[in-house]
Amino acid sequence: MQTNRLNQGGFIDRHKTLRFTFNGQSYFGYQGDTLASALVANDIKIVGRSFKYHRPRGIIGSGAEEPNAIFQIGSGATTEAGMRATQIELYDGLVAKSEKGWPSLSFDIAIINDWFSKLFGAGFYYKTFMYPAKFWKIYEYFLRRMAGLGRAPKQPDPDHYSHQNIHCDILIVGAGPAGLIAGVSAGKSGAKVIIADDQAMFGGSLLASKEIIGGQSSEEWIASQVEILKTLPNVTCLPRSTVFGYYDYNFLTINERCTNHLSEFTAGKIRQKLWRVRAKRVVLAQGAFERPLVFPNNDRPGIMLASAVSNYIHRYGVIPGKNAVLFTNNDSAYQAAIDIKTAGAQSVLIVDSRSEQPSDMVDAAKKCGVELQFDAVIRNVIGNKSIKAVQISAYDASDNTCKDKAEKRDCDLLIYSGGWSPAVHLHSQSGGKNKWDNERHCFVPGKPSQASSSIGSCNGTWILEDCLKEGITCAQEMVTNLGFKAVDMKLPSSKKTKINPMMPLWQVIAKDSSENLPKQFVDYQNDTTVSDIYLAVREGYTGIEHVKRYTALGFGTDQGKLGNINGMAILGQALKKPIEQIGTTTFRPAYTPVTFGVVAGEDIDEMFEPTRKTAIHDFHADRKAPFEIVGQWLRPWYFPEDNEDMLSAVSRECIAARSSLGIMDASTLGKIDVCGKDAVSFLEKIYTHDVAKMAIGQCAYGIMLGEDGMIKDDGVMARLGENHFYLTTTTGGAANVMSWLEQWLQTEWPHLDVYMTSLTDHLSTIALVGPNSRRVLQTLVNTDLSAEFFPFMRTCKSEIAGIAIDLYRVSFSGELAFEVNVNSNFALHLWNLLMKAGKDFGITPYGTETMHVLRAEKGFIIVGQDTDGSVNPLDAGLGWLISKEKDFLGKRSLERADSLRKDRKQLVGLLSVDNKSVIPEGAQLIEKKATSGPTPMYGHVSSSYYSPILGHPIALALVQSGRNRYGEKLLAVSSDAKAIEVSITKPIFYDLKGEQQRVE
Amino acid sequence: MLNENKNYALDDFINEEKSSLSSSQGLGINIRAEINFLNIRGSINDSDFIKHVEAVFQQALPLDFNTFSVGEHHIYWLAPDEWLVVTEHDLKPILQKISPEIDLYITNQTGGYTQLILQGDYARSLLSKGCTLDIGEKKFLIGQCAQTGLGKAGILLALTDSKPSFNIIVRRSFAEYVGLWLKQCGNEFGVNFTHKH
Repeated sequence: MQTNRLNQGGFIDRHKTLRFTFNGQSYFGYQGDTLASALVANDIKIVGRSFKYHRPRGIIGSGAEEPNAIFQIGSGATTEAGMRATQIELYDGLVAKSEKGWPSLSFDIAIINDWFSKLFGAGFYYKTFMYPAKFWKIYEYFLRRMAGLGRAPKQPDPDHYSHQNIHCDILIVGAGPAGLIAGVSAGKSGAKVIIADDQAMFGGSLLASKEIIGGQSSEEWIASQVEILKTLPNVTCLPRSTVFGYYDYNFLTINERCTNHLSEFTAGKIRQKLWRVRAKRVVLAQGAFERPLVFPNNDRPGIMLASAVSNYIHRYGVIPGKNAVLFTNNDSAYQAAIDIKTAGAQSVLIVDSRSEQPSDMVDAAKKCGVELQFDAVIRNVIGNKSIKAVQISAYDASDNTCKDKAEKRDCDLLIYSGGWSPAVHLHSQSGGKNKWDNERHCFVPGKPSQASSSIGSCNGTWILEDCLKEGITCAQEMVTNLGFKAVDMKLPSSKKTKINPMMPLWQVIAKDSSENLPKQFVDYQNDTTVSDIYLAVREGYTGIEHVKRYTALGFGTDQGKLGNINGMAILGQALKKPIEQIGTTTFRPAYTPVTFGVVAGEDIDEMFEPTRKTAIHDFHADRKAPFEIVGQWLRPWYFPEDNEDMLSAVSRECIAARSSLGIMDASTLGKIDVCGKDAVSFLEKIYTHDVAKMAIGQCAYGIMLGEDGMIKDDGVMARLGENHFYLTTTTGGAANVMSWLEQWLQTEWPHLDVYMTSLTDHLSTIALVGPNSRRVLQTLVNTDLSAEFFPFMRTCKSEIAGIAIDLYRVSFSGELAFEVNVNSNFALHLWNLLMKAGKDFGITPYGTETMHVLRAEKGFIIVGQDTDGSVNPLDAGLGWLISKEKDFLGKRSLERADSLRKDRKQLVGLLSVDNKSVIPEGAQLIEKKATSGPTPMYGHVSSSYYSPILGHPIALALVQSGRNRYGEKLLAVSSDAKAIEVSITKPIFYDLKGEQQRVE
Repeated sequence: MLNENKNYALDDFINEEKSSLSSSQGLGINIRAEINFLNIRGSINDSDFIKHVEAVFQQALPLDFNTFSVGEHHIYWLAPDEWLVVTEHDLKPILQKISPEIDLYITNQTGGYTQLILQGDYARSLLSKGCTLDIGEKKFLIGQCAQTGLGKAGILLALTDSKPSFNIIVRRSFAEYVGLWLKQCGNEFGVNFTHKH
């Protein structure tokens, strides 16, 4: 039964009834309700249990500030945790559950935390569950169960989320009166405007007000402004959109909820959208949050903020109580008393801590039959699961305390208001500071640190007319500044209300000892009480950031929207310092919680990371080769035949390459064309070897070092002309090497005439490897491939079947081998031609694993596997590549004392002593005999394979003074294998003299 | 004969009938396979270089940053000393005209790039989903180009007419990613790719 529903009023459709369930029980609401308004309409008092003491809690607010009505919505894959009922639009079939309360909301076993709460002060968990350390796992199980922060779904999220980048002249955050009029004003000038509001309807505070603006009711005025915005093509209106992050360079993020209000899951539709906004100017018009008052038992179900009461009445046609008491220290809250009395409440009493002074609000309240009691405060609340009565005491403003004598007043609703706190969150996120205003008793935004302005109540401006004026002025200034012509806007007339100033009242202090008073809550979400703050001070915490962490004040998902200011003021009282000296904590994104789905957007599954495929990929895929990801590239790992396992496939491929003919797709190599008059002197500085001495058509294996002298990248490079070179880089290093080279060229040596162009994608590279490679290739090309005309480490141009190719006689396997470069558009065709030509010689495609085995048998390093940024050329046994006659990057570092240390780790070979065990890569090498104390680690295994041609395992390792240890035996240990005894050898295992690759 | 032996990135995306992909919502994607790409390097302070390039290609070399010139070919400005020529013409006669006396460095990139054309009312919105550059009507004009990103791939983006039509030039190995990206993100605007498989 919607017992609290009014017969009329509100932006709801009483003809559209919606069914929903809350904690398993069925209820009804109307189209236009929020879940919270529907719960209030159904007179649901308890909506949750508090975080620590598991006290019953009710709905306090009506928007982003709500700390208690936080639910698990839906079930299965689409369930969402931590959702505020005040921000969920009701739809038919909605399923909501409280996140706390076990076994039930009405009886939560952990309420004992409340009974024994003297034990559970701030820091209780830190202090209690420390010992014994190994018990933590047991403590954790129970604590997590009790904490109840909601559950994430275990299934993948079936929803679609979308990202959109957008640029605009002005982004307006908040479509209340100030934001709306700023939007209209800026929009009319022609500027590109985005106006975003987290509510389904624009209008902000006006939605719950009966003000007359420019002769129109507030409802009509909102509608007319929205109509203007909709007709302007340069204005984008985003309702249901929370601006949750304000970052550098006026970059802001908006979370738009596109279909959340329709149902739990809408197939084929985008559920939420992340707008990434780059704005030239930002208008912050987010409004303000009403502050609670702090007094004993101020968390009982049935206590509600004044603004929320007005919202429920005016927006949803719901009256939250029949007999109300309103506790306030300011005039604005009177409106709620008037609203609820007018809506039909039997009795309403205003308890005002201030003395009586004439004001429009007092008159209006009296006129509609509201009782008033001045110089009084609420000193306690009676009722556990719902409010039954309050105790009212006289208040002595001279010493800020209340009298002991209390008078009881029955009620079912306690409305309260401690004044307003501007929503300075985004201003603060943008880098702006906030300053305390001693007249308005709140933090207001200080000087903006980016191109933004705060207007309306988020600037501490409370009077409607002033808000509208700020909106117009701000928009006109901004558009003029951006080069648009500002449009004249008439300030719509609105009622001028005479308002008395508020009285700061941070905490109701009783004359008797405050220690024995019931709990006075400051932060509802984290159960932070006044005594926790005093305890923190007693324990030596004085900075607000420390007190925040000790007491968890402001740590909830509401980020202290309600409690922060009261908490700071109470800390000020405890420290006997004014609040402006306490300062604020830092506000960080997100303003309200944002689902991971919308952060990930479309970058999921196969779109998470680009996968690059070579032009020959289809061949590999047809052969069912498993792929290995190398620097985003998919490279074939091995080519299984029939039901071969990896080891047999690799063995077959290795033997084929060593004994007849193998073929490999090496297209992923980085390829760079270098030309220009100074190409030689540029490359002389980059490579360690003598580039200038290279003949045209000659190839060389080259390494480049970082400034620290460590190996950065390696690869074959070739001189194609006097001033023309072709470089190859490692697959993974291609992009980095290119930008590294460009960086030196552009920033350090801009005088050099050098041009570098990537050829990585244009050229595909096919390696033909094995003793029969020359014979087969010769059947396809006219070029004489004999050693006399085309010896080892040479390059030339040629042609196969009319396709231009570049030939390189180079070898990464130690065999007679050729690499063929070809325009990628022809690569697959050429590959197939080579496969056909090699058929009689059993041509065998091989993948990266065989490539690794073949190169390891020869002791050729892989940069990044056998080196790790701490290996210099001498360590790697590449001293022969270092020119003594020229300077190059990293050369000086090679002469540092550390580079010359005798005990540096050096590249060596390893053989397992049993000749059978393959040593795990990454295994540490230690002394055979156990020593006492920590075992010295001499090095680690960097590459390890079974060598099919040799018939035993081989490995490469980096070992301290390795080259002096040939013949020595060590133990290779790792977490995933038994210790293996190994002996140290030279890092070469096959064809020690290199005759095969140089074969005549 | 040679052309039959070519295979392109995004082959899978090319509709057998017309190699064009269209949607009910005024968005079309066209994949241009049969075109050639040349990268040109040289100094703008060298008037011989500029004259020679313009003589060889019979077209102005765009010297303003982020613009392109249209004639027999499209020539895109990539950097103060770098341009990309996209042409349907055979490369051989063009390359033969290049004089070795001039400091002009040219690399064939035909196998290295793929061009897609995205056309229609929603083209801007679709691209903006993954492109952080301001490509709004007032900011990105016909004749402008930019090297920017789309999703997680680098692209060269150019606006050629008011339909609007965007040329998207992407490295071959990223073309499939970009194709998938347009397909997936295009769902929002009703883009419907025809897929061979």
